[in-house]
Amino acid sequence: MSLPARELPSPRPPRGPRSEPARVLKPKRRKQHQVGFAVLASVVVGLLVLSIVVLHVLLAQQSFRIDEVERRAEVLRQEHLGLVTQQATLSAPGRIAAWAARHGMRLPDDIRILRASDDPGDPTGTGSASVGEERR
Amino acid sequence: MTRPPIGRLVALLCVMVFALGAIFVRLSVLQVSQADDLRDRAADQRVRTVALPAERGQILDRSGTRLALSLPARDVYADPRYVVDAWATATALSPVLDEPATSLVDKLTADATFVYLARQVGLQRADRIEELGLAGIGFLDATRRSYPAGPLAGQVLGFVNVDGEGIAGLELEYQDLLAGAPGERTQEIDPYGQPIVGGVDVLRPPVAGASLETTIDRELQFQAEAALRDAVEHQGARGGTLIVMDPRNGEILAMTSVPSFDPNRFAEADPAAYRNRAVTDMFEPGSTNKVITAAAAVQERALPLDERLSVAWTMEVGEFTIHDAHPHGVLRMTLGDIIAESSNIGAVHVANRVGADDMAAYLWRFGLGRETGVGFPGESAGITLPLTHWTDTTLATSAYGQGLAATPLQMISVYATIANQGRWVQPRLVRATIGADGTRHEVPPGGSRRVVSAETAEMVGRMLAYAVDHGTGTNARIAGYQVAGKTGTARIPLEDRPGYLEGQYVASFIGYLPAGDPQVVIAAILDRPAQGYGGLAAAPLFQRVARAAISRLGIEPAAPLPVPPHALPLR
Repeated sequence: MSLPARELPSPRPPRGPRSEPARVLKPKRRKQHQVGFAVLASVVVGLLVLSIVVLHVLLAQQSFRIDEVERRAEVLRQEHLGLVTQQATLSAPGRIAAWAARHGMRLPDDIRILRASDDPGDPTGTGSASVGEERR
Repeated sequence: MTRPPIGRLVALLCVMVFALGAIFVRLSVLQVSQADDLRDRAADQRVRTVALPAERGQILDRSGTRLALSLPARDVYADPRYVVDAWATATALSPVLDEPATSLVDKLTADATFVYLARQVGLQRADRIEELGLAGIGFLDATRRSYPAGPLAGQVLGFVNVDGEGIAGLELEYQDLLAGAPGERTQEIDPYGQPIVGGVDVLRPPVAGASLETTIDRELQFQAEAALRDAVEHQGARGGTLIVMDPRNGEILAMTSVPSFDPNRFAEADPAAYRNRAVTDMFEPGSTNKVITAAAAVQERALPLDERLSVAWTMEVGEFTIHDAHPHGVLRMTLGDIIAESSNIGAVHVANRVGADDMAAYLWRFGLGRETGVGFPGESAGITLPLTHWTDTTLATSAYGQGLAATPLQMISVYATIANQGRWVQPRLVRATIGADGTRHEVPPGGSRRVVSAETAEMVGRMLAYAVDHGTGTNARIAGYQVAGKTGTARIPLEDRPGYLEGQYVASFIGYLPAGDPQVVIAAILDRPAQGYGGLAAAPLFQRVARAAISRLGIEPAAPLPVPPHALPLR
């Protein structure tokens, strides 16, 4: 049995003289890369600056809002204190007594403290049996 | 090419080295030795620190009603260096500050950099001044103390000075607690004085003071003040004192003196009116002190309770002659009769049975001669002689309350002891503190001690009830309630020499009710009333306040105490 004849590898082409590296750009292309980098860097820096500015603006706005809320809280606190004072002043017994006196009211000369009678048959409900007369 | 002379190069080098050295030295001075000072000076120009006053705590009554509180205000000041036209500025400020323009001109032209024009000005007035836009006028945050109920309990509350520091009463006693701690805010400012956003801003917030919840009942305090004022006026008295206390826990429900004052306008009042006489002033208690004599006799079994002593109307003690209030023949009296009829001679007989040692001991045990510790500035301890200084007459005069001095608070505590089954309880004016965060802290009750047994207290209580029902205290009776109490008509010692004022007395009535279940004890004291006797002048005052207390506190009647052994017929 005969084997097919092995195909002999084709001979390599002879190497010629060493050519220039392919990555070496031409001056025009290199300039384009530099411009691109500059644009990218500018955009990044610009974005950073912008974000810092925005952050500062937001902080400033928040600061103003906090100031405003604090001012509002202080006003409300003062209003509350004013109302508390007014309530305490208006409810003072001396003021009420003076108002009542101006309107012709006065305490009775003789106050008697009576107990409701335990005896349902006592129509007066004074429990007079246990209440003695006072001596002046 | 010729080389430069070496001498010139060396000279140039020296000059440069010297110049650099000078710069180095100057830098060292600035950066090292003067660094702190320069840093501070720079900070002063752009950093401002403003003091933030702490809110002073409030003073409340026992139900939480405000008796004293602080309101926001502003101090108005001037920096005369920046005042452009002093007269025009003064003329504009005068009507708002309610101060003569000439006075303001003096301040505005003063040789100073800071002059107060007005302190504690209300916010509305301060705003009106600010709207004037006057050069050289500035404002500082402050607070103003307000007492909404006016003169109510003025002597108890006290007041604060213009700097907000308590200088009398509870305001002084609890200054540290009420004041809190001031804070401050440090800010970086621009040349126009406006804060720089994002600059230095350090806030140390103030810590508000705690509030006091007193034992005072505002309504009862008002009733007590009105009753005392009327009684002093009606009796033409020089003054008076009134205390209402819960004998079970020593809580003072009302405390007042005449003359009184309004703490909102304390500067206009007579300083003598500032005193809380119930605590700071003492008087010879007179016959109200017989309760100690009786308690000592009962506790020490100095005499049988049904023993009838022979009581004449005068008695020789040493070089002095002691007598009862009214002439009478020789009476046969039990201890109960002696208390009910308030016999001085009888009390001396009883004290002789008790003996000087025990009498002095019981005066001390009941709290005479030492402060009660109520927690009030200027409390007096009263005056009782130490036993080693007692003379022949001291035992006799102590028996009926002369020759010693006590405060009204000490005397009401004596009666509270009898009402509280023989146990003395320290009186108190504050029952809780409330922190700025609203947390309430109960003030623990003060000390207490047993003075006499419950049985002794019950027997003395029967004698005091007998004194009101059938003795000298009938003007203190209240229909439906049994009152226990004792009258006092005490002579007033001369201030400049030994002896007493003639015909002038301190009239008093101290008692409690209901006698069988004491819930309130009241001391009514009048200084030199027209009707000199305690039973005539002070007992009706007690009665009026006791009625108010019954109504206010909802006191129910209790079973009456039986009459103690007695020899005199009931009347």
